[in-house]
Amino acid sequence: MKRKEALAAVSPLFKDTPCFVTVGLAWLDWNQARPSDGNFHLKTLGSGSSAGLGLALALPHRKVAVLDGDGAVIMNVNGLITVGRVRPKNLIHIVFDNKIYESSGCIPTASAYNLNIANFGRAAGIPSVREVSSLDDFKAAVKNAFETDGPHFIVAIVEPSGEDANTSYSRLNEVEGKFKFIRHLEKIENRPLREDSVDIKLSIQ
Amino acid sequence: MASAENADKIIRALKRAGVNFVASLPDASLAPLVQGFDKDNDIIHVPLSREEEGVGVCMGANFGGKRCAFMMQNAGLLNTCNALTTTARQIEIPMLLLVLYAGTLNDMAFPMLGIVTEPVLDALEIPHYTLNNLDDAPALLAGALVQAYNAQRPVAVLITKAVL
Repeated sequence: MKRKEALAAVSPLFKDTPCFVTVGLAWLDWNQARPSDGNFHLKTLGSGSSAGLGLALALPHRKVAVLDGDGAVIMNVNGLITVGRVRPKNLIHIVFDNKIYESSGCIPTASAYNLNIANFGRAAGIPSVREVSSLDDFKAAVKNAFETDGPHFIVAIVEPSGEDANTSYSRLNEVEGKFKFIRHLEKIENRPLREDSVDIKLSIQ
Repeated sequence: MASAENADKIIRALKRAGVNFVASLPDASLAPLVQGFDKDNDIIHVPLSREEEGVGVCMGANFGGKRCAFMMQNAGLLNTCNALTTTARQIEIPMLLLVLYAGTLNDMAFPMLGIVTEPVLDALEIPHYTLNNLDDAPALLAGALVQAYNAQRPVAVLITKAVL
C-alpha cells in the first residue's frame, strides 16, 4: 500500500472534516485526494497530535483529523502521551509509517529497526489503536474512526512513495493557510471563531 | 511557599481577560495554579508532558475560537523555541505565555536560566513583562493578551516566585 492510494481511498469519508497535515510531502498527496480549505499544513515537525488535540477540545462535537508520518510522530511522542491522558473522543490520528524520513533525504527512521509506533499509542493509553498494512484494513479502520468514539490512533504501514512522489511543492503562505482554515471552520460551525483583537479596555480596568 | 490564595487571584485575572483554555506543565511554585486550573469549570486545562506540545495545542484551540494561555517554567520555555518560531511566529498565533522566572533576582535556583530567558524571548521577538507584584496581575495579564492579539504573536509574562 502506498500513501497516495490510501488517502484517495478514504478521502470520501472525510467530507468537511478539519484536517491537520504533517510537514512534508503528505500535504501534496492529501490535497490531491481532498482539495479543501479544511486542510491545514503544519510547520513544526511532530505538532500534529498537539494541534489536533487543541482543536478537538475546542470543538468537541466535531471529528478532527491528523494526517501524520513516522518521522513526525516520533519527534513528539509527548503528544501521544497527552492524547492518551486527555482522551478526546473526537480525535482521529492517522500515521503513515513508511519507515524513512521521506521528505528529508530518505534516511531510515527508528521504525525501520525495532520501534513499533502503534505500541506507543497503546502505552500512552489511547483506547482505539489499529495497525494496518492493507488497503481494505485501512479503509475499515478509518470508517470505524468516523463512526465510533475515539480517540483513534491508526498506523498505516506503507511503502515509500518512491518515483510516484509528488514534487511540485508550491508554497502556501502560512498566514493565508491559517485564514483559509479558520474560515472553513467558521463555515462548517456556522458561527464566528476568529477574534481579530481583544478589547483594549481589558488592560486599563 | 506558593499559596492557593495567590493562585486564585491570578486565575481570576485570567478569566476576567477571557482566557478559557490553558496548557501547562508544573513547577513547585506553579502547583497551586495547576490545581486551580484543574478545578475551574470555565477553563479547559490540558496537562502536557513536554512544553513544545503546548504551542501546537494552543494553536489548535485558537483556531477553534479559544483564548489560550500556556504556563511553564523558563526551562520549558527553552524547550519550545522551535515551535514558537515555526508555529507561533510563522503562522501568527496569539497566546499568553505564563513563565515561571527561575534564576532571576533573589532566586538561588537555575542561575543560567535566569540569565538567558529574556535574551531568548528578545531573539524570538516575543514581548515580555515581569510580574513582581500580585496587585499588578489583572492589568498586566489582560494587557499582555491585548498585545498578543494586536501583534499576532505570543506575549510572555514572567512570574517571579515572590508573586506566587
